[in-house]
Amino acid sequence: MSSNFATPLKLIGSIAAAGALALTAVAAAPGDRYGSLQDKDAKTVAKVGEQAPNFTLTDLEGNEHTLTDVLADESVKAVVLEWYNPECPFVVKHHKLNTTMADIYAAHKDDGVRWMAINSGSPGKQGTGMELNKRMAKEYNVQYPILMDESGDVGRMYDAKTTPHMYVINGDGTLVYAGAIDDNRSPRTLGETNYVADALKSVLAGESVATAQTRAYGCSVKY
Amino acid sequence: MPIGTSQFLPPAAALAAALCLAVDANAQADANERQAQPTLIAEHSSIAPGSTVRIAVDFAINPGWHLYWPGRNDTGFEPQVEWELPEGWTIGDLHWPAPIRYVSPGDILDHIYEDRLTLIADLTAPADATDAVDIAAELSWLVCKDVCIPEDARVSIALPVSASSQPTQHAGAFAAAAARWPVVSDTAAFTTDWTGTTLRIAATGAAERIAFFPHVDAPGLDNAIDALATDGRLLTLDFTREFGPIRHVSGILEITRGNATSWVAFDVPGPDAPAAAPEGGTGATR
Repeated sequence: MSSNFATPLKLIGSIAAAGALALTAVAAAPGDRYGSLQDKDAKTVAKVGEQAPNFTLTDLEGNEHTLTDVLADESVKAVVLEWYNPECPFVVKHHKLNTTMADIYAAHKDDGVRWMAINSGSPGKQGTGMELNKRMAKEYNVQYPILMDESGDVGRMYDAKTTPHMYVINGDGTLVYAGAIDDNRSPRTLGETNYVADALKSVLAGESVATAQTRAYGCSVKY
Repeated sequence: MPIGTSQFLPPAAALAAALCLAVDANAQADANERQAQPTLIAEHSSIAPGSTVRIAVDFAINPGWHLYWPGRNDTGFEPQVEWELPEGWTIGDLHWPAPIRYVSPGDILDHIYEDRLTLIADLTAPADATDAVDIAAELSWLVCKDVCIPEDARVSIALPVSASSQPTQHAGAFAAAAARWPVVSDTAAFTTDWTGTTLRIAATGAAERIAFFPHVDAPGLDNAIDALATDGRLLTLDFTREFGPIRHVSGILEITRGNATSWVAFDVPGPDAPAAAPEGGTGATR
């Protein structure tokens, strides 16, 4: 598996370049109805069926997590990335009103599934800050790392638009699912189909993911 | 109602909510705390037996906040309306006015309503209706600015049953909402032309700006944020088959000519439309 990551440094280098560009991007004010933002020129967008872009982010305890390092562990069969903002009602739907994320993680954590939440909120915006995130992680009893991406670089690299916006990466590092957690866009009601649970079952069974891409729903990522 | 906990509200509202929750954990948000305040309104003062009148769910939206159009959006969720009608009474579908484009950092594109959203529906009385009727609706909605809050309410209106009727004080709100309904079958407003998965739309005559608001079942756009041309009458849309075949493209076309903006219902067959499909659709392919 590690041979798939013969060029991790190169990948990280491209992320750094994307990050530098992001700093120079002209951000339009929210509510700029007729403008197109420049963000898309500053990111290497993850694509389903291709290698998931690498990243290194730090969790709430100060531990660094690098995607390629996680995947280098032979026992890891899949990695789930969950874009996260603890104060977003749609995150509340799946972490408090229901325990969607916790349930899927619990069902598969011993099958080689790693799960990482990523908070790409810009400092000062809703759902950001270490104290708040630590407190909410405790309240929601989140059992997996919550990674802070305050620059939003990793979020833009994955084209994460919503919380939750979900990604499943297989053991070879290929992005095999991107989109919604389930098929009900309501902030309250659960869907009938859970796309992430289905994708994980397929990956663990060595099968291809039937529904590899859906439209995510939720709150906007607070870039 | 566990969503109404304090961490989703601004500090002042959170304090008020905390006081409220101390009294009753299931208490609904006080009307004064809502960022969007709904009422049921009628266009006319009464309804005659067997006739149809327009009633509406009318949201007053606080400055800076918005509600969502039920079409293609990256985020949000449109208001949900569940009518409660006496036996024999019927009500039609909600008419959704044309929304406005709303772009947030991260190339996040939504179609929203600000200030006021008036959702009109046709209410029909049974032929044997007498006295008066109470119409109610259970509403739930998501209201957002930089943060989002789920809100809900039950609204009702008492309407006398009478053959004589006159416009209410709300008639203006009905007219304003209806002025933003997309015009159906206005095939003279635009022409379309496919090249592969690229659709070129041309507004008929001179236009300053043309924008496309995709319906929720419209095929994938490479960059939905580009569904806008600010430099004239031509709009080019690049579709993708990533979300499935491109059978037809539907939505609202917004065309601005001078000081006037109009909205046209748009529905044209795509390159993957079944061969047996009739030419044209409701929009024009010419």
